[in-house]
Amino acid sequence: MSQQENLRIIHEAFEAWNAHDADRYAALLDEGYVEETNTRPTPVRGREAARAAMQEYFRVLPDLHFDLDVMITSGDQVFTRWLVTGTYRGELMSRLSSGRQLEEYGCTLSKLGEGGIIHVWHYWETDHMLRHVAAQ
Amino acid sequence: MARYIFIVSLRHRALYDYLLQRFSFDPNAQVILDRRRGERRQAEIPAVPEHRRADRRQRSDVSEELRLRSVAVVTIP
Repeated sequence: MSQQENLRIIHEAFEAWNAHDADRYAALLDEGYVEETNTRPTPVRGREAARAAMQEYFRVLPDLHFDLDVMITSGDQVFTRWLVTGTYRGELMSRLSSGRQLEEYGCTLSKLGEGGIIHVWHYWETDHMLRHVAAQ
Repeated sequence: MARYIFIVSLRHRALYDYLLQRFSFDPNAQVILDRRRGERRQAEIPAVPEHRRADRRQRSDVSEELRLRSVAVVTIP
């Protein structure tokens, strides 16, 4: 795929995140998709696992939203820098934590192939409460 | 084709290591660690010849960006 097409796919992937549309996101993924973060001990492997992980984020942060400020494509990779915002909800969080605002900087490096997104690595810039989600 | 320089804050060594590994075979991307200390960044601001001011301004912008964020990206057209 061309770099322009790679850029379009990653842009659509973040649009799917912001639309809270896990099916749309999963449709962009390669069969062998792997997702890692610097906060989660084990990677997410495959479309179904990615869909489930995404829905878990939406359960804990029902208004989760990414604002992208840098997108760069080089070769088969796309680098995206973002600010994510949201409000914690759900039984995972304590009563004190529920309602707390999330505002977190980070970036994602994505690798693409003919089948779509092969690999993503999310880097969260600070230690944060989403470790609760990552631990699931 | 544009080239990109990823300048990673010293506070985010894990990000630097990862980007360095992932872009190691990409001739259009370079990943560097910002090892400058605060005092040296301030020292870069003083008056410079006219033709170098734009470059200095860009460096100053990068320094400010790295104060807030883990990584800044400079594009070389």
